[in-house]
Amino acid sequence: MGEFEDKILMCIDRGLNHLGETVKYVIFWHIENTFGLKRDKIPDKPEEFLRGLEGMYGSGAKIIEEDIVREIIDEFGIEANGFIEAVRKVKKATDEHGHQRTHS
Amino acid sequence: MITSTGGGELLLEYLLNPSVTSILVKGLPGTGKTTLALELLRIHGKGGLYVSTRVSKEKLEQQYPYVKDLIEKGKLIEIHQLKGVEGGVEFEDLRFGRSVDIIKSMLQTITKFKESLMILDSWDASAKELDIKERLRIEKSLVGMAEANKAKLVFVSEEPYLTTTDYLADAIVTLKDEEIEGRRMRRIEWNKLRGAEIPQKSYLFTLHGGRFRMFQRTEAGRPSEIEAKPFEPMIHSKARYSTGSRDVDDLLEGGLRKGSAILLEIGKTVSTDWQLPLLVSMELNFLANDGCVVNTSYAGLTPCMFKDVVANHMRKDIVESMFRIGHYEEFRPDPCFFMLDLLSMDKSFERLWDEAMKVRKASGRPCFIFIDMDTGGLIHSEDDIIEYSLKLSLKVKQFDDVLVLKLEENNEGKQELSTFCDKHIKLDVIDGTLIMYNVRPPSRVYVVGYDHSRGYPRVELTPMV
Repeated sequence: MGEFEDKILMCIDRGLNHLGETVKYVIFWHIENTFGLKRDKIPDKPEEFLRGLEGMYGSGAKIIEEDIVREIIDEFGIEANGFIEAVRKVKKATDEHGHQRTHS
Repeated sequence: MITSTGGGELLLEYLLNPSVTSILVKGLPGTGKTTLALELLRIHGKGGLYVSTRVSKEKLEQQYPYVKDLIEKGKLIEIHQLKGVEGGVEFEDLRFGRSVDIIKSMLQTITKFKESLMILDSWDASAKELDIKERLRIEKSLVGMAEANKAKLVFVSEEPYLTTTDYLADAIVTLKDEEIEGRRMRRIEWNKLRGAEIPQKSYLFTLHGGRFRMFQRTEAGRPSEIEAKPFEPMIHSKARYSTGSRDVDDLLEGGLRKGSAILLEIGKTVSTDWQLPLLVSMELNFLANDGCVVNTSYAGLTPCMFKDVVANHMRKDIVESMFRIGHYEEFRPDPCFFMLDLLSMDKSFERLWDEAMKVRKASGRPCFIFIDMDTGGLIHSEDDIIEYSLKLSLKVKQFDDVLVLKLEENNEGKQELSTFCDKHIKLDVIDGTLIMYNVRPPSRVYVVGYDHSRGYPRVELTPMV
């Protein structure tokens, strides 16, 4: 797992902490159980993570998503509208940063 | 997997109204929480999950035989045919589980059955292991998940004090197992309800037959859409007269023993409407079995009104020849009415007995004699009326008649009368529900229902278990 995935997962963890440790654990379990999406693969498939949350909380999932996005914005200093966009922007920025480092 | 069944009581359906997602059922051990939760499952009728943290599946099936039935049938399509229910109910044994497992089970059910009902029995067993913040977060999450999936959540709890669940739940009921005059009385108290108005704070309920049954306010009168019909008699036995109700006969150990005197005590808040069908049912059955009936006037009723209640369900010629009401005021001439003497108890007693002898002669059968002790006590002295009732009870024995003495609970002669009567029964009202029990010899409490579906009042008793 790379630096990008690590940091995104930390932001997700912090965002979900508002729900408590037990619920956070069950969310990861549910998403893996329903979509076969393991916790460390969430940064690759943010759409499925959101679908899992919506399956559990319906429109309430939006509040959880906002908590996570706020953590990502704080961590990476980006502007983003929603979890999927935030993850993509961070990924792109990380890729570009890595690419620049390789060429320099 | 089980499928819950439909039907149930109107009042319990309030708990399942669309504004309610989470229900908290509180109460001490043995108060009927599990039975209520299972009844909600049946009424809800859309399948669900029963999470047990205390009782094994086997024990639950043993205690509630219908659970096993639901589990078995839930796997089959005929459940849908039998009860009109979709979905099924899953049983999860989480006696040794954690809150994580509860949420997991709930999630799996939500995704399997739409609009399901989940019972966490008991929630406090798991919740008390959590710190308060974590508990609240989990509860909020459970409710959030239930709301999102149009599911309903029943938290069963033995915690008597206020907890986080109390603040979160949309509906809260507390079950109570109380004792009144040494008899069990079960009550459900409504503490909170979103989206509906409950007319009163508490109601009586019973767990008779392992089912939760809540009692609404007793309806005594015949509904206007039901036409009055002739009374269908219940046959007397050799030693006892039937009261016209199998349930009341059972309470009296087979009916009114020939030659016996019964004391009928009436609670302060029992109106005449609520008392009358019980007495009328007994009198109608006497008349319908070729017996005769002699009454003194009934407090709160004119003789005409009293007669009409009986005449609605009996042939005119029988009423006119076998039914009598003694009264103290002038009324229109009627073959059923006779005058009692305002000034002399001796004369009143003589006239009552003469009338009994006259109608007895006509039918050749025993007589049902009814005396309203409160009215008599107001006109004559209480001591006199007690003395004459005692004399009457001796005559009744001699002729194999039956004497029913009615009095209000604060009547000073109650103790004395109770000792010489063969049976002492009491009618009372609790939470708007009419109840009845034997004071002597003591019995459990029964809830009284008047069934008018046949066109006449039939008394039904449900035991308070």
